Formats: sequence, C-alpha cells, structure tokens
Amino acid sequence: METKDLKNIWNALADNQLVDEKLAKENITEIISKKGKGLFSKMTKKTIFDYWLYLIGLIAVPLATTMVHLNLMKPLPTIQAYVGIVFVELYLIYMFINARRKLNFIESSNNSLSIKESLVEMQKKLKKAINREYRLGVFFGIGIILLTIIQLVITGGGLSNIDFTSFPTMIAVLLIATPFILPMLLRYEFKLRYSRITKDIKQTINELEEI
Amino acid sequence: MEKEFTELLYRNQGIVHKICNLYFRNRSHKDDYRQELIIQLWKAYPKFSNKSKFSTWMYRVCLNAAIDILRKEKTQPKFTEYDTTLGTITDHKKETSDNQEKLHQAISRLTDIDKAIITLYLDEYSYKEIAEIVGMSETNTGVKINRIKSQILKTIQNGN
Repeated sequence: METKDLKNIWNALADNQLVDEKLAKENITEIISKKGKGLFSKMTKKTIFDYWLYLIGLIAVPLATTMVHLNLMKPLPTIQAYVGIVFVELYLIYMFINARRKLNFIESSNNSLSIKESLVEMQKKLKKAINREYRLGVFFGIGIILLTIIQLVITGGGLSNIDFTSFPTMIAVLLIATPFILPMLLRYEFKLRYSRITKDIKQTINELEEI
Repeated sequence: MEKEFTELLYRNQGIVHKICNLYFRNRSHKDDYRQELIIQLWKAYPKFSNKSKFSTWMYRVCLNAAIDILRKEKTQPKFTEYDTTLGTITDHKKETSDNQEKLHQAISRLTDIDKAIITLYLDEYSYKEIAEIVGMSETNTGVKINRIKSQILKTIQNGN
C-alpha cells in the first residue's frame, strides 16, 4: 500500500458522511443560534449554575452568622454550633473553587493558535490557577480566623473566660490555623487532580520540540 | 456574519467529520462532539482575519478543541458521562471498507499530536502549513510524518 492509497482511503471516509446542502446549512444555523442542545452545553449550564449556587451559599452563611451575632435579642450560637457552621463554610469554599476551576477550563477552549502555542497557554493558565486558588485560600482562611476569634470572645464572655479544655473550643482554636492549612490543602489537591494533565501537556510540548 | 460562516463551514464540513472520526470515533454520541466543534468554530470566527485559508484556520481551531475535550475528559471522567471504550466497531464495518477500517485502527493507536499531523498530511497540506498549524519546525514535521507513515503502513500490512 502506498501513500497515495492512504490519501484516497482517507478522503473517501469524509465523503461518506457529507449530507444534503440545505439540511447541512440548517443544522449549522440551528447549532450556532441555540449554541447546541447537546451534552457540552448542558454541562456548561450546570457548571455555571453550580458556580453561582456555591458563591451565594458562601456569602449567605457568614452573613447569616454575622446577623445572628449582631442581633443581641436572640441567643448567640454556642461554640459547637459555630464550629459546625465553619465546616459547612469550608465545604462551600471547596465546592465553589471546584466549580470555578471547571468554568475556567470550559471557557478556555476556543483559540486559533497553533497546537503547541495553545498547550503553552494552557500550562500558564494552570500555574496562574494554582496561585489564584492559594490566594483565595488565604483570603477565606483569614475570614474564618476573624469570625472564629469574634465567636470565641463573645461566647466565652471575654478572652480571660475562654475554656480551652473543652473540645469544641479546641477545634475553634485550631480553625485559627485555617489561613495556613487551607491554601496548602487547595494547592495540594489541585496538583493531585491536574497532575495527569500537567504531565500530558509537558510530554506533548516535548514531543513537538524533539526530532 | 452567520450566513458567511455557515457557507464557509458547509464547504469545509469534511474537516469536522474527519476530526470527529479521528478523536471521537468510538464515542456513542459523536454528534455532541461535532456540535461542540462547530460551536467552538463559531465563537472563534470573529477573530478569523483572512490571513490564512479558512480551512487552515478551521483545522487549527478544531484540533485545539478536540485535544482540549480529551484533556478535560481525563480530569473529569464524568464530564461527558459517555462510554469511551470500543463499542461500535461492528457498526463502522458496515459503513466502511476493510482498508478504511484498517487505516482507522492504525491511526487510532497514534498519539493525539501524531493523529493531527497525519490528518493534515493526508489532506495534502504542505509541510510548512502542517508545521504552522501544529507549532513545529518544518524539518521536524518532515521527520515526524515519515515516522508516522511507516508506522501506519506497517500496522496495515501486518493486518492488526
């Protein structure tokens, strides 16, 4: 079999699938006007929905907690309840960052660069994403520290009255380490999840550079 | 702009089919991938500047989109929720000849980049054009193509 035969076979494959002109053009118009009704557009809509859901939850939980603190007519949440709320908040932070990641990568597709340039751009994007998540982790962590300190002081009736031997208080004190632990955990999880892609991209770039 | 794009895409629709066959051949809902490539082309179209041929530009966008989709499926296996195992080869055999099937099998074993290179070569793009689309030097492109061709011809001649 010669190269010419390969080319003929290859072209015959595509020709087998060409359809009537009018139908084909109507199909194209329908796809671009409705942005497809298929799986990818559903996944994009779901990811956008998740992003906003977790962002709203992330803002609503500390807002609600703060309003309870400020409303002195109602009983203040105990330290146990507060610790529970913080773990819910940590879960929302993780889910929000996850949704943000997915959205980032869904939106990154369309480009007319060469394949190699596109891979190099993706590498830069991944590096930026890790650093951005680290900063988000620090930001959320500081927020949790501040609220935890406020909660400990108010519930404990002042710094000198805090009972450091009680289990919920110990957990609350550990939460003060959040700005240090949370960003490191996010960075570690990101690298773990994307290690395969990062390795893949590096290998492909090397493949394009070697003879 | 929509009418112009539709006309250009229609005239070059074979490219989308070829790329879907190349990268998503054994997926059960190939039409979703085809639609996604068309949407990516439409989103990128405003940036098309007529500096290169439409077909060259189209290959670039579609190949990037296809490789991107495959990458996402690796990190998020539930991204497509589709079975990516070889499941419909018997259906393909009804539509294609034996040689076409052998060629597809041979190409399916190549890396994503090698698939892109050989497709462009089989579509009679020059080494220079292939090098620009893929992002390699022209010399590297020539060497790569010869290696891939030998690999494919060997696979086809061995019959597996």
